[in-house]
Parts: sequence; C-alpha cells; structure tokens
Amino acid sequence: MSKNNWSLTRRAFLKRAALLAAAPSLIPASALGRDGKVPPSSRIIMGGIGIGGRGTHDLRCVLPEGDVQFVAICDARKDRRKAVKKMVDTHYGNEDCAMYKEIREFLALRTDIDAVLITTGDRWHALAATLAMRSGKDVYSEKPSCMTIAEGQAVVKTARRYRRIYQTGTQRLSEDNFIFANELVRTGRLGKVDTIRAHIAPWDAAEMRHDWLPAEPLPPKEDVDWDAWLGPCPWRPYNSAYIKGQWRGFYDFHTSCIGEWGAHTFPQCQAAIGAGDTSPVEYKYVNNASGDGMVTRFANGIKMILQREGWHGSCGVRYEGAEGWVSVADGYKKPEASPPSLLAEFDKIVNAYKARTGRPTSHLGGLSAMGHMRDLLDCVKSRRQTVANPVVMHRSMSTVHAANICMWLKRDMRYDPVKEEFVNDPEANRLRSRAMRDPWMF
Amino acid sequence: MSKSKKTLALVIALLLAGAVQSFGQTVPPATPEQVNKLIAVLKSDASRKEKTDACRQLAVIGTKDAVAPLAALLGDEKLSHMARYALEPNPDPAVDEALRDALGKLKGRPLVGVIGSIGVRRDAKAVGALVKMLKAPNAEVAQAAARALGSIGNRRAAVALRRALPSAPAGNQLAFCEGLFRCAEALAAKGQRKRAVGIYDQLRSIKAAHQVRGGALRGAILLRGKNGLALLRQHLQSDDYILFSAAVQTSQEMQGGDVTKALVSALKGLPADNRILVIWALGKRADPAALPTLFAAAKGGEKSVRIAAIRALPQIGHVSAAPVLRASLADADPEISQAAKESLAAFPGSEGDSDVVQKPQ
Repeated sequence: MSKNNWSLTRRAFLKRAALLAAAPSLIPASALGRDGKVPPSSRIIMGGIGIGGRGTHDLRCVLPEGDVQFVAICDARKDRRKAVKKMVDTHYGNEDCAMYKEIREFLALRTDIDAVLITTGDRWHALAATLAMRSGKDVYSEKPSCMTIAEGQAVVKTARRYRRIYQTGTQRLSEDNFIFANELVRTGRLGKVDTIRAHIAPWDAAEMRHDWLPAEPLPPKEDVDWDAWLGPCPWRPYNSAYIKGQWRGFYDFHTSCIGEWGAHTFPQCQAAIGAGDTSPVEYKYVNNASGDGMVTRFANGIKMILQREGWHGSCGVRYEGAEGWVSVADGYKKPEASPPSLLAEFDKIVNAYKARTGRPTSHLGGLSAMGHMRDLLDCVKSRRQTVANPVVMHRSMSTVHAANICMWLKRDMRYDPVKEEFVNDPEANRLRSRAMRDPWMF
Repeated sequence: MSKSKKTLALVIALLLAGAVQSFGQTVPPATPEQVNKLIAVLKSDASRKEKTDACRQLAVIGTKDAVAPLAALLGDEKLSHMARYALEPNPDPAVDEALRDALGKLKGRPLVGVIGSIGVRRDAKAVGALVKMLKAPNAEVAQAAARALGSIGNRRAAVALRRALPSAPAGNQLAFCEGLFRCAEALAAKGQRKRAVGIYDQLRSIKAAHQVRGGALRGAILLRGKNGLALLRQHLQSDDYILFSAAVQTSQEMQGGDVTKALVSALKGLPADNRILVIWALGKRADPAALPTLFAAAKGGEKSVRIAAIRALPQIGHVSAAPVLRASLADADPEISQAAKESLAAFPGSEGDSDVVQKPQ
C-alpha cells in the first residue's frame, strides 16, 4: 500500500464520512416518513436483500460508515436472515434489525429505506434491483447483475424512469491499482491502444448445465422458500446443494466462467478505452470449453481478448499500446508497466482521477469494496451517477452475454450495439431474453 | 437405450448442433425435422424435465408449427412458464394470437405470466382485452395488465391507463404509474412528445410516491426541451426536497450554459443541504462559469457548504481555483484547511503540486 499522505486516503474519506455523520444525531432514531429525502446531512437508511458470503463482505463495508443505518434484511432463507440480523445487531449493540421473507412485502412496507444492498446470486439481481428502484430505493447490486441483455435494459430504463442511483458491484472500478491502469490508457500514456486483455474465471466452463440435481424433500417454507429462491427462473425440484452455492454452472442461475470474472474485467476494459456505453461488434468463436482466447472487436477496431491465464490473482486486465503496456490483477501490489517509469507517476495519476471525478477510491488491503460502496453512498446524497452505473453494468454484461451466446451457438457473432441485436442471426437474438416465471416478472 | 435417455440425447444433440459461421453470414433456420422432434416430445408422455428441455430448445429454434403444441400447455400449472419460455422469443405472429386467446381461458399465475409475455411482445391487438383487466379483482392480474399496456405503449393504452389511474386501488397505483411511465417513453420514442408530456404532467400532479413525482418531473423537464428550463428553474427553488433534488439530478442530463446559470442563480437563499447539492452538481458540470460562485462559497459561510465548494473546485480543474484553495489552507478551522489541502493535493498540474507538503517517496 502506498503510504503517502498527499492523496485522499481511505482514512481521509472515512474521516469525511464521519464529518457527514455528525449531523444525523439530530435525526430521530425512527426515520419513518422520510419519503425518499436524503439530504447531504442526513443518514442513509439501508436494507439488504439476499445477503450471503459475498454480501457479508459488502455489509462489512456498509456498517462502519457513520452516515448509514442498516435496518432490515429480506431473504428467502431463515438461516441467512438470522445470520445477518445477528451481524447487524452486534454492530449497533441493539436488536433492531428487522427480518422479512418476501421481497415485495419488504419493499412495500419499508418506505423508510433509502437504499438496498442486493447480493442474491445472479438469477435475482436484475429483478430485485428493478423492484427496489420501482419502490423508490437506490441500489448496490452485486455482480453479475443481469442474466440476459433484456434484463440489463430493464435495469437501465428503471433507474432512469425513477431517477434512482445504482451501483453494480464491480469494485475494481474504485480501486487505485486498476484506476491507474485505466488512466494510463485514457490519458494516452500508452500511445494508441490496439489490444486489451480481460481475465475470465479459470474454472467452470462457458457451456452450462441443464440437468436437475436429484430431488430432495422440500424444507418448510419458513426455512427456505424454494419458489421465491428460484424467482424468475424455470422451476426445478429442490436440492440443498443449490442454496449452498452449487447453483454456479447451471444455465438458469449463472452467467458462466465468462460472466463470473468478465462482469469485473469487461467494464474495466471498456472504461479504459472509452467504451463504457457500447459493446464489441464482433465475437470470434473458439473451439474450447471456456472461451479462452476469444477475440472480440469494438467498432473502433480495438481488440479485447478473453484469457484464463496471464496474471497473478484474480480479475486481471492488460492494455497494450504503441508506446507501452500495463497489466494488473488482484495479486499485484502495484501494476506492472512498460516502460517501468510510468509507475513513478502512480500517485499523481490516481490523484488526478480523484480530482477530475470527485470519487473516493480504495487502496490495496482492507475491504476491497470500501471505496466503491462509499461512491454509492456519496451518490445517493449528491444524486449523481455512480462509477458503475446502470449503463456501465448493462453494456459490459451485454459483452458477457454475447460472448456466452457465441460459445453456446458455436459460431462467430456480429452484434449491433446501437440496435442491441445480433446481425443476421435470429437464433442468437432469441437468446437475448428469457421469459420470466410468474409472478416474478418485470 | 430407454425412451427417456433417447429424448435426453436428442435434446443434447440439438443443443450442440450448429456449424461455425463466418462473420456476416445469415444463419440458416433449424430444419423442420429438428422442430418436429421437439414437438413430439411435448405431445408425448415424456417427463416434466424432458418437456422442459424441449421448451428450452424451441425457444431458440421453434417455428409456427410449435405454437399450437406450446399454447396447449399454457394452462398447465407445471409447464405454463416453460411454454411461455418457448413462445415469447418466437417471432411468428401466431404466438400473439395464441397468447391473446389464452387471456380469456386462464386464471391465477398462468394468466399473470401470459399477460407479461404479451407485454414483452408489445402486441397492440391485445390492448382491448388488457384494458378490461385493469379492473380485475385479482390485484396481480390488474397490475400485470397495467405494465403490459405500458410496454405496448400506444395512444389507446395510454388513454386507458390515464383514465384508470385516479380510481385504481392504492395497492395498484405504483403498477399503473409504471405503465404510464412506459407509455410516455414509448410515445416519446415515436415522436409523440406532447402526449408523453401530458402523462408526465399528470404523474407529477397526483399525490404519489416520491419516486413517481421525481421521475415524472425529470420526464416533464427533459421532454420539453428548451422549454423545460423554466420548469427546472421553478423546482430548483422548491420547498419540496424530492422535487428540488429531482431538478438538480435532471440538470445533470442537460447541456448548456443556461443550465449552469440556472443552478448558480438558485444557490441564493437555499438551505445549506440544498446548496451543497447544487454545488456538487456544479462541480460535476465542470463549467468554469460557475467558478466565481464557487469561490464565494469556498471563502465564507456555513462550514458544510464551504467544504463542498472546496471539494468541487478541483473537478472543474481551472488554474484560477488554486489561489482560493491556498488561502483556505491557513483557515483556523482544521476541517476547512484539511479539505483545502486534499483538494490542492488532488489538483491537476503544478499549481497544486507546489502546495503539497510531502510527496511520496
């Protein structure tokens, strides 16, 4: 971690949060009747939907924030409702965290809640976000944040419609190391960039499972509401493995090894080359199980190559220009760059980013989503767009979906990012959406 | 090989079918034989899993021939969703006829599902039937109908929803508003701005949830184009924080110096919280025309507003801000001087660098 004291460090922005939090002591403990008002001096009332392993990490980023009060959890699983309540109540030293089983009831009843943390698993992310935004909540949604191109479109439209603030959980967009790499491209320090490389998860496959695990006796609805857990997905018999995390790899629940990390690395790459509001126009099929080596191409000619290896740690990106390159992933204390002299400007470049955008960031170490979460909270108050706003989410996830469809149909694809449709491929176009299971529909 | 395994093998073979194509080539449609084999699965006594898998494949390659066998499953509580799963993306107009026909026959969740699919397909011929359902005693049916009408989004759907909104039960209000938002967007996309503005004006005039009022104000301002500026100015002075913050948020979607001027003019007389919001918006605009106002806000007044202005200055990134920040470095209030120090340190270029106490080793 860079130990300089001239950048806006995490400690500094926590202090900033504490300053903001000074005023809320004047606000009554019960915040009911706020009707969506979150002025800068106010505390943000938050709730959670479907908080498990990754959600607990995010919740640990929320609870220390002095201008947030986390008040309720909604989950189809009793064990998770209770675990989150215990964590929240222990933090605040009370027993106030309320528990809800049904999302629509939760959203309708808790009109006092300003923002929700959604970490349900891929299958529910977009629908939960859409329902929450229709109910007037701002949203932090874990990634991958939509199962189809149509779901991403729905999130974008709903956020605009109700002027909601939304952040997808691609926290590397708020981490110094990754910001540095992107800023090298944006500021032209690498010369003309023609190739970028995006890490995809080195496990699982692009091809998905369609089988059903053996049926097990359905638990009491109070313990696990299986119908609600499945949500918009096709019905299948209950098996406890699904709810213990083994939903990954199934077509109905997951976006493949490409989505698992592409949801992070694609928005990173697209932001670097100024393509956050579009998607590649070509996808070249590769005859392997994972999509490793797939070449995609943006309309401006830049190639983005999907790679399973080539970095230390997860979610790596590499940008190659005429005058140099930069490579970074979670396992790097500092990015690798050529020429190495580029690294001498690390602090200057990151600080310039902060100056230009006014956004907080996270340094290496500690909770990785801290800066990203703070960006959401700041934006809830300022009503400005987050760094990973709905368009960033939708367009990068469109890249994920198009790459998956390329692998599933085993052929090259052309995509029109303006019309948001595949060119001359009706079958691929049919895979842009999936009929949702009633009543869990947009 | 058992019948069940044969069916599974067929489905997997179809799943993996398809040759590598070159860019730009039109992909040939599935053969009738492929489709017929899947239809045969639907008509057989195959298991729920096998029929589910057949529906998955028909979603991708189903033709007109598949419509009737799938429509026959719409009333089957176990397979209704998967029938829609296959029908919804099928472009054949026979699908619309089948879904409309099912409206009069279904109840409960299958009916809600079919209404939703009609909305996804934007079947204008279904408007009449959907309008009648706005008064359905089943709230889920009425709400689904409102949303589907919104997705269809033609003039007739909009008129019906506008008429129905005032008398809709409280529990259905948000769904009816959602339908109207969708209508407004669809009409605006077709160039029918006046009708769309009428919808937004209706939505912002009713006693509705904050997200509806704020969202409607946004639509009303943006769709009015240049004429929306007056509405923006009006609500930048609003006592209602929802409408005020909606106006500030909407300003971020608007270009031009007039918008900066409107924000600057609004600052006078606002409460501190509201001023902070406007200052943040001015920082985001990065329009140097706001600098004199921000300088004044940074130099004196309430502390929270001063800090907001000090933090907004580097976003504009103009060299003239450096002396103002330097002056604040010596402020007696440590929070002010700290904010100035951080803003200067983050300030682009040498103006800021010269004031940095310690540089990284």
